[in-house]
Amino acid sequence: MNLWLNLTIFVALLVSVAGLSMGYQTLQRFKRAKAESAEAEWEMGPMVLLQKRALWSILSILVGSAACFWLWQTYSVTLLYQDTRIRLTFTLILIISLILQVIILAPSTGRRRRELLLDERDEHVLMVASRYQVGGLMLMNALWAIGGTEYYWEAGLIPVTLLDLMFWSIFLTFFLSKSVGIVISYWWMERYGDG
Amino acid sequence: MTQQELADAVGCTRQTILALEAGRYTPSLGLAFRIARLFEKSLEDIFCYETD
Repeated sequence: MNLWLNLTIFVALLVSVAGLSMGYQTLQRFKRAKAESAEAEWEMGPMVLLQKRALWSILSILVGSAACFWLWQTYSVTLLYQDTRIRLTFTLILIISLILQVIILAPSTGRRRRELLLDERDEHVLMVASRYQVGGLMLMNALWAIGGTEYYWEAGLIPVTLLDLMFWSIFLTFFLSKSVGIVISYWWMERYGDG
Repeated sequence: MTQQELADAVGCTRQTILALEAGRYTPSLGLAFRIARLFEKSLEDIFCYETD
């Protein structure tokens, strides 16, 4: 097995474990909320606007990425860029995903909108989420650099189309890591406070 | 006064009031003062500072 495949499997396993863990925690939280009526109101409290938007953002990025991944797997990197129609479809899916992010996460951008739609706790969450954003971008850069180098080491050349994929993936990671950061920050504050 | 009414009066969300009541969020000085003034109390009457 090459390193690229190993890395992909490792990241997939990591994401699966994190997902399973969060799912389990959520289940436990619901059970506890039912049992403890005093805590129930807090535990079952409705989600704030930013929290809902972040979940929609994650869902839309995952759908867009899955569609692109399917095209990528079906046509391979080189073939994908030779067929103009498929390349346009690929680019269009990515552009739509990005436009959706701008619309969905609009409340978190612009000073005036933030003052109107968010409160200081949301601002605190956004500040924490920006750390996840930096981490996500660094991870994505590392995956591309290490994975690309290892995979194409023997050939000594990398397909020029990979640069295009890097560009789009970094854009999507920018929004995805922000939304994941928002969801995790609210979850963390709900459980452990803001300390 | 409901949590929503309090939230509207001091300019935050109901979830923030819930978090404050549950001790899971430390308010800014501005928010703390707005809450205290609304109830015509001092900060110490509404909030307490825990070191641990």
